[in-house]
Amino acid sequence: MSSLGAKKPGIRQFRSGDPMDEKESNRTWECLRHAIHQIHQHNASSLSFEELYRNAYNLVLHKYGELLYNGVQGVVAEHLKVVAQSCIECPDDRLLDELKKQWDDHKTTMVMIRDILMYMDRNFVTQYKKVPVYEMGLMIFRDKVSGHPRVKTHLLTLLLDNISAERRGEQVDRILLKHTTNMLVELGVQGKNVYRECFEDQFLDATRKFYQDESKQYISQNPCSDYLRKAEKRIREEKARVENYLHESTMEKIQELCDEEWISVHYKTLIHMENSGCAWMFQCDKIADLERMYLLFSRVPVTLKEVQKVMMDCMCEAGRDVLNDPEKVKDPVSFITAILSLKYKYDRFVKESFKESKDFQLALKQAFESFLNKDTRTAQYLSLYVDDQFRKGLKGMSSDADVDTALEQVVTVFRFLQDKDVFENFYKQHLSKRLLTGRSVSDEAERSMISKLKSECGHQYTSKLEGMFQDMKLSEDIMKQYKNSFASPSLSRGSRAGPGVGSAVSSASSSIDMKVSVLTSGFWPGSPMNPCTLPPEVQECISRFETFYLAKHTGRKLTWQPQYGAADLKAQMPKTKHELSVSTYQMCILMLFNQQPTWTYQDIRLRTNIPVEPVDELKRHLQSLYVNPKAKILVKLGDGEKKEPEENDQFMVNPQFESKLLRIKVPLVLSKNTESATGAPQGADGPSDVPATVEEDRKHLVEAVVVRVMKSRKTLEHNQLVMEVTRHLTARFQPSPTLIKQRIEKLIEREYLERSQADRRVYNYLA
Amino acid sequence: MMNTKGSGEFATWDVDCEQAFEVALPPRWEFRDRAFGSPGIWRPFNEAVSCEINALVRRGQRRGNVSISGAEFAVDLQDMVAMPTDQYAVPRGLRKNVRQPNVNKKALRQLYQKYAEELLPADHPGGPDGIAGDKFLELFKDLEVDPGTDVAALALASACNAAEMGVFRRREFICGCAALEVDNIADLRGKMPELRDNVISGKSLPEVYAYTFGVALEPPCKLLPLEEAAQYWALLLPNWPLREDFCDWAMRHMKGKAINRDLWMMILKLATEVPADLSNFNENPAWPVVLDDFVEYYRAQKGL
Repeated sequence: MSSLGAKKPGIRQFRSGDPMDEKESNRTWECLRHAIHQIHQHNASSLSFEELYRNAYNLVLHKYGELLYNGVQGVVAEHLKVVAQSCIECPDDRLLDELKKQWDDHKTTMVMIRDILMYMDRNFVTQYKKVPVYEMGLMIFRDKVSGHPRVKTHLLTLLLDNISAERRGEQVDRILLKHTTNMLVELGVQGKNVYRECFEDQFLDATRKFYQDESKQYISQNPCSDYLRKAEKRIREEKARVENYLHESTMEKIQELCDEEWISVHYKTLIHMENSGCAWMFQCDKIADLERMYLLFSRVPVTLKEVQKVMMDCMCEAGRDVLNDPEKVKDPVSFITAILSLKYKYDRFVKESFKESKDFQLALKQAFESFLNKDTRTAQYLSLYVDDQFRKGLKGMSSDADVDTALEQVVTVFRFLQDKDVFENFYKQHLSKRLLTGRSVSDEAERSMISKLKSECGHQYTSKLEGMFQDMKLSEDIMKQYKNSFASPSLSRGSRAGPGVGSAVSSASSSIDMKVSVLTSGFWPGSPMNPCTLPPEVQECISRFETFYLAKHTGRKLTWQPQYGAADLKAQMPKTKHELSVSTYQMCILMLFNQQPTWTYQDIRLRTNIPVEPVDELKRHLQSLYVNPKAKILVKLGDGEKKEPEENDQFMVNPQFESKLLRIKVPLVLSKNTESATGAPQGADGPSDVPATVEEDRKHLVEAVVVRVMKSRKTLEHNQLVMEVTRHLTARFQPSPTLIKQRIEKLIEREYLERSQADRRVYNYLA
Repeated sequence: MMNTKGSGEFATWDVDCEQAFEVALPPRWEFRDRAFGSPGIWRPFNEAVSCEINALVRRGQRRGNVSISGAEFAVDLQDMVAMPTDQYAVPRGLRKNVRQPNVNKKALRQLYQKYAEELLPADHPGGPDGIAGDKFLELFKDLEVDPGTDVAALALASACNAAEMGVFRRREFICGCAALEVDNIADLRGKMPELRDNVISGKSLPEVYAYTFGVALEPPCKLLPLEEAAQYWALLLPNWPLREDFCDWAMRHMKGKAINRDLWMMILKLATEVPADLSNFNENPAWPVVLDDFVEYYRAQKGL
């Protein structure tokens, strides 16, 4: 700075005292022209930068900027003309190298020239709005060299040839290509995009054509997964190419182009390709292929819809197979197992192949819902499956975590059910059987299942189930108190009980051990039945219990429900001694034979009063005592052709009875009627519809909700009311609009609602 | 015999007439502003407000809320005043304007006496006597109307607001005559074509139709058997193009084969508001399920 400052007085002196004339200016320019020429000849080292700078400075200062600017333009143009000639004459294979050399030279010389003419750039150029010297050089290069038609076409051809060679897998000089494209980009000054005009557009066209042909040809000869691999590879290559030697502005365009040519055009063909498409991949668990497809197709999100559709179709088809499989129709356990394995399979696809995409999760849910809710069998079988798990399945599981997983699986299927009330109905039946027969493996597991259901559907859904548990617990306490109330244990005797049940061990002696379950009516399924006439010994026990219980809880009413009960009898058979495990009804029948050796069917009915309506319980229980070859306790006299007992058939204790076992369990025969009454599976009858009790409950539920909604809204339009009611009920089941409408009409009839006089579509709530 | 007995019994005739007239021609209600001592002029309420106040009277309520030209009023029938529930509105005085029908009570009594006889129960709110049985048929014979097949008979019963089929109690008969403003048999006969036409043209159809359901029911029952309903439809809706299709369908497919009031009223809507091609049926989603089912069936049949 200080040295520059020292020069200043001299300059000022020169400017003020010595104005430049035309001759002087021409001389100065001549000097500069020579210098530029020298630069072009690579002789710049012999020049004095300071002198040249001063010359240019003087020219501009003395208003000869125009002369200088035009002169420089002329000299550079002159030089580039020669350069262009050398490029044109250059053979094709050397062209890129030649261009690289010339371009580098040009850039270096232009930098030098620019430095000399710095003052002109700063003053003259800005003042007269000219193009700065360096850019002017680029423009001249663009016009004379790269823009020369021959050079231009050759350059393009060479570039495209190189690229397609690389696509064929050959080695190319990437650095040279990078250099060339850089040159094109740098030439893009003053509003002209040389890179795009001279290269990119043609490159994209060529690429599109190439991939159009290639993808079309490839898809016709290769399976889907190979195609996907190829497409993936191509897309990756193009990306790498742009990164390696093209300009970044190309990236988006080329990606879009690849997506379109490799994916959009062919995705349908790919997805539906026979023996290798989507469906095949689902069938053959091609997780990796599907993942590839997902990643590739997520570039064009609309294509994923098609994949989802195929997935849903595949699932529905698999679901239908399970639903229609004759083996699984009979066996609820294998049915649910099949559903669970189907779920597991597709969960894996969603998780591993589709990266837990929300859309695919939704599709999975929809597919399951669509086929599981075709009929109520799933609800029934799911409940039976749980029943089986609680009776046997959970026994094998040691840890709580295993049990929890098993139950969690049940809940996942449960979530797909629309008619949750149907499931509740079956579950209640099965639970009551488990509780009353004490067949459940683990109380804790039962409770955790209920709490799972509770967290799914809310407190109301499980209140009855919880009530059943509560009853069982209270009954235990009551039994303890009952037993303690006898001073001497020899006095305790008993039999079956409850609106519930009990197991009783009766013997010839007077001691009967009775267990009573007191059940709250309303919590438990099934309607109460008329009790039968119990043997006097048992009757005595019952009365004693009643006295005990009613003394504790005044105002309650006990109704005995022997149909749920069971009894253990000590029996002195003609040849051997046994312990018979039978139902309460059977106990009543067998006890008769203590009085006389033979009984007719008619008499048995009259003496026991075992109900024959609505289900013929007597026939079923009696039959079980003589048809089973392993427990042939009674024999039917007379012609043994028919298995069913008739009015005057006589029965007696089987004198030939023999068994090695001390304890004999008499299994009950299943009659068709009892099956439907207990809601057990009916394989032969195909899918059953919503059970009548559930149907009835739904009517009440819908009415209750309609009234609740109308009470708060006072007047409401029909469609809004239906929507509102549906919204309230979907957690339990899917009410049909017709059902809601029918209930509304009933409510109108019963004057809870009226149609508005003004608009018949509107209902008013009548307080 | 009737006359000798009647002189005593018909002593209450004038009272009966007054009460029946009020039913036939419900009183109009008038009001005036009661502010700053100026009496103001009496102006009638519109019909709807009058109806609301009459409904209060019928229900025996002394007070009730009625909305008058947008504002809510607490009507007090004992003090005959309407107090605004919004405290800035002006309080209004109320007046009942009883309308007198243009009939001669004496002539009407003569007309009635000709057909009347004692009926049980004697404490019927419609009066201890009435026109029934043979006398009833005689009346219609004189009116030149067949009560079994002519809708004019139903229209007359509706005008009388008769509570029972085939019986006009005393006050009911007076009420009917007052509503029609007739007091002799010739005038009453002259009204028959008009009554008939008003039903057929639809002018008085809604009232007559609604009335018919009530009178056709056997009291504790709330459902009208389909066969009976079909006969009434033939009378009341003779021009409904889908009537026979509907009755046929209902006979074969309808559960219970009985019509409740809601369905009965909605069938009037169907008959009067929906054309034969059912084109605008779906505009109302609230049709009863029975009608939905019928329309579905009918459309399938006709390929609509």
